[in-house]
Amino acid sequence: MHASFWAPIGDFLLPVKVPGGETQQGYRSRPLLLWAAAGLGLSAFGWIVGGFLGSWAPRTACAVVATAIALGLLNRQPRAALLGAVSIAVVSLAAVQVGQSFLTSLLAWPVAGLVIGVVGAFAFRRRRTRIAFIVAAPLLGSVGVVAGMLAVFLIARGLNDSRVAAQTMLGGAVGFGMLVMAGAALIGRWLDGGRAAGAAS
Amino acid sequence: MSDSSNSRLFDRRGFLGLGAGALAVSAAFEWGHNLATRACKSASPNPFVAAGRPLLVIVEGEDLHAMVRAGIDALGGLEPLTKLGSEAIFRGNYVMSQPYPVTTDPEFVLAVAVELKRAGVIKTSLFDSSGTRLSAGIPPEHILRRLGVLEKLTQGGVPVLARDFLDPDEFVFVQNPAWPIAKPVAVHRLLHEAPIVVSLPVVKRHQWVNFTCALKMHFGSVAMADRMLVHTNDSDGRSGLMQQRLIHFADAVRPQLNIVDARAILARSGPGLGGGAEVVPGVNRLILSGDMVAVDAYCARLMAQHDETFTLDMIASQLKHAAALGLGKADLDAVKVVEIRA
Repeated sequence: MHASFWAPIGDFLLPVKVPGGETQQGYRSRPLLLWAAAGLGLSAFGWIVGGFLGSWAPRTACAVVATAIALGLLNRQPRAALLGAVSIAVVSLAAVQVGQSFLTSLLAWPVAGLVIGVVGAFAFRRRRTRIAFIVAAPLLGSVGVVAGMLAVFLIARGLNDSRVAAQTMLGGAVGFGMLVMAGAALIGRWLDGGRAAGAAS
Repeated sequence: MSDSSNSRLFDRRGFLGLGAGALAVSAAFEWGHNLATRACKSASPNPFVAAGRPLLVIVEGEDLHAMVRAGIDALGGLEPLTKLGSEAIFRGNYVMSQPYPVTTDPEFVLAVAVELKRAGVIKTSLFDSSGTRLSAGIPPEHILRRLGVLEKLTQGGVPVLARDFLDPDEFVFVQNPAWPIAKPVAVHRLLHEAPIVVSLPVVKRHQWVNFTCALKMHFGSVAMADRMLVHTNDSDGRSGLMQQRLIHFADAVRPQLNIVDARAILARSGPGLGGGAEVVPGVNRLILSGDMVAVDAYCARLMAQHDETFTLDMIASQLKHAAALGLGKADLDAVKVVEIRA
């Protein structure tokens, strides 16, 4: 593989200039890797902190709340972050309780993704972007949870180490945060990216 | 704090830096507190010995309560256990929702609880971990509830401790340097910290490891993470990983007393009914010992008497590995066997 092959991919993922030569501030405001890393780290932090408060319910709630706060603050919307954090905490705790009686408490993840989608949609200017994020956030969150759990278990299997395998759900939380945040960055870039500096924030 | 420092804290760079720092601190704490590997629990030497040899009591009879009492009397009583603490945890075998002899009979648990209380143990509880709160279909107590064990034991004054087999907060990681597989085992915290653990196995064939009794039953004492790793890395039990690892799981628990309910056994296949498994009634024995390897050595002979498809060499490697780790005596000539009728 040569630089010529990777260049367009790099330009897409980490753009600095638009074809017209101007800096595309809409892209700059949501650097994909930074947002994905923030989602990964903050959701992991939330999951670990939730462990001090109890079991599945507080862990799940803290992980999705941390993701919501990360999304709000990186969008420079602290009030939206606060609103999102409170509403997601309440909804995810309720979803875990309901899920423990019907089907599975893993239902809390797509439900939290939906709430993040609704609250986070206000960060976008265009209606199509908002709708896209409301639809994408629960889907990406769910895919992230499953992919994260699977990745951690496969690593644990390869290492034959139960310390890693015991963190399968942490992998799910990390996958959720990473994909939701990466999704927000990508959707903003694809559908809201042409806007003026800071407009998407 | 000045305005500038406030704004610096809440700008993107400050927020990300703060988040990264918080993650690092919490991850370090998690690693040190929950994921650090400890030594296996320090188990006192087998208190049930005669002239330096472990005692193995075999009681034949039909009255369960009389058999339990006679067996404990032949062991010399339970006073050695009461010196270890005032609370005891029972480990039963509740692998699926099928009655005895697939699973431990609740009447048997209650009969043993009566004797422990008579000896001075203040509180007895049954521990089991066969489910998770992540799924509404398999909460930790679902098998115990379906079998009526939960209700019977609770009414009989033996609380049930049904724990989540996926919850990482429920476990401690332990490792014995003598294990050939240098990986820790996630054993349930309650069992690791319990002063007295009394194991109440049943005698069954097992489709992957051939036999399950006092040693194999501790698959249920460790995290689903460990069970899954063994099952996925040795799916048909042929590589020997499962045979070896089940000994490590038993080593991580080391119950002080094992009382096997072999009034009936499950022969030909297992660990559940179906697949050609046959319940053999009328065996009418209880086996008591502080030595779980001797218990399995004897119960394997019992199985061989009632199941022509089973031979002792099928579990020879298990017993050899367990004996090598100091879990007990595989050679029954080195054990004081006491046979009584009740």
